[in-house]
Amino acid sequence: MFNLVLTRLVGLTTFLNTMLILPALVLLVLSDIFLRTFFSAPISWAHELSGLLLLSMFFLAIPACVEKEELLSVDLFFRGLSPSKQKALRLCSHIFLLLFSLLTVWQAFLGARDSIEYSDQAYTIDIPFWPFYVLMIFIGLITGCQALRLFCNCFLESSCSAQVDSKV
Amino acid sequence: MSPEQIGLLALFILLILITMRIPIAIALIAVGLAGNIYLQNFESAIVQFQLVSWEVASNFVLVTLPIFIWMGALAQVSGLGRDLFECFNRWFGRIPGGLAMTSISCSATFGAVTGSSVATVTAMGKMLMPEMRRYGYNHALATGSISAAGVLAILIPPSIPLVFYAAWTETSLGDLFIAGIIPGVLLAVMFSIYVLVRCMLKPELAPGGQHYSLSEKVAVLPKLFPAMSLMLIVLGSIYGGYTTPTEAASVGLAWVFLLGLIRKRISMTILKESIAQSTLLSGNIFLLFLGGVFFSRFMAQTDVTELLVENIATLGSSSLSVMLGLLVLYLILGAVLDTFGMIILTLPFVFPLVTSLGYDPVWFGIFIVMMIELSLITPPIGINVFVMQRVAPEIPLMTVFKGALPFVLISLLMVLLLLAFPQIALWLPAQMNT
Repeated sequence: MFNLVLTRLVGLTTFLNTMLILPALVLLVLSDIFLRTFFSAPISWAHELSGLLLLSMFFLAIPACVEKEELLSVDLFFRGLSPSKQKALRLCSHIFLLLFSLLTVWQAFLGARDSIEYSDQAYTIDIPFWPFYVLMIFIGLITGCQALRLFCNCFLESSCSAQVDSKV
Repeated sequence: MSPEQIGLLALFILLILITMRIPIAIALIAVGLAGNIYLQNFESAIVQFQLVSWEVASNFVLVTLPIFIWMGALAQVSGLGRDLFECFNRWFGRIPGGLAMTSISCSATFGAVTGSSVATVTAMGKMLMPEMRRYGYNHALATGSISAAGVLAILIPPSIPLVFYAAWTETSLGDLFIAGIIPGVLLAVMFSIYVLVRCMLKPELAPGGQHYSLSEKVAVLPKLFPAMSLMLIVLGSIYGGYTTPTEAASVGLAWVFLLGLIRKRISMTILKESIAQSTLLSGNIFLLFLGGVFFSRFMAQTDVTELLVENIATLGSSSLSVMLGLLVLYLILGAVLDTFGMIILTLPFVFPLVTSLGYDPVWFGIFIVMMIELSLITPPIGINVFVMQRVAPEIPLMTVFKGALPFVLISLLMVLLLLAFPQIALWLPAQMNT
């Protein structure tokens, strides 16, 4: 159940990025060029909205990166280690990922709180900042769950192999 | 402990974490956080992270990143590579080593529309390897030329590493793109001359291919139009000052999308896949950028960078010897780290040093990208070589590395030329700005 919900949530973030955020970003930039070139009427808020869309896109991409194990790491020394040491390092890596997700949630929580308190919003368009911090919290929580799942899978895997080893 | 000692200790811990296969971005954030907590307090560290996250994620220059990656992915499925191959093959295929020269010309042009070295090697490898096998090309020369020509993709604009460098150093992306053209073309010419001379001396290495009449050669020229028009739109609009690189990327994307639709190469599935590919890579690069900025802000508080710059200044070394030292450093790092890892881990220290020595940031951007190029074809990482080997699994990896070696030496020669004559990179941007 946990796995299914998590996989669906990651799918949702990918869906939002592919069907909404990135196409919207490109359309916004193109519309700005078109209006500026042919009607001398650039969209004054295009720059700022592009930044906000980019922020959403980057954060929405993180769960997919974790899911596909795309985060860049150095394998060179790792490959030469014994399987048990490799597993220990993997567990360690998942703990770091969990810490990162907690940090993301915590900083976004503080940001959302301050944004609501001081009514922070974009300068050129009437868009409040707090929804973007809420998005970061959402992403942080998904990434945290992914890190937990990776940790548990890795831990169980090592327990199983330990059992097999002892039987052998 | 003094701040400098904290900084050096943090660097040491960072290297240990990275060798432990902790993702580089996460390791940078973890060490940056711990350091910030130690030097200030927990609350300040969190606020710092919050500021950096917002600042990096909404950095307008980085908008270029997902759009160019998307454009490259669409260009790949739109059959632009096949057109280039057919065209260059008809013109160069007949002469000894012609297919290898076709590979170099195609890669330089295809790289200019995709910006991805891996995509270029995959696309060119799939098209050229069967032909090279058919004409009995030497395996080392065939695979070496394809994998080495792939590196031209990240030097000739649009180049993803240059976008990353521009955003990090706040250097003009337009200038960087334009600065990459002459070194890229020059390198392609040097690669081609090497292939030609070697194959003239030893024709059995790469026999000439099929002969085409002049009318057949001319008839295929219109196939150059899609790729050339895309290059013209992207580079022309930047060079002419009509658009920013971000806008040029969007216009290029719209054009390649239109080309794909006209040629009926784009379906909804392909579109979704290309966007997913773009967002995934962009997300990964964003995390690295975030980690790098957060870590470098911490390092700025420790004064380690200043210490390094002062120490090198007191050594009295000439700027040229420092640059030669950096060349060796990047060669070593290239054996351990990938493209973005190399940039993110060295720029916080190397960039202030290089600019303090009076080097132009645009020139250094080209230098660093050329060093990255070398790491793509040298062991043990050599990603292009691994991609090439996947395309031609029957050829041993060592043969591909051996075949790429002469091109590595030529690239090194190009770096030395760039050091001796910085105008190779700086002349064209200077013309653009006058």
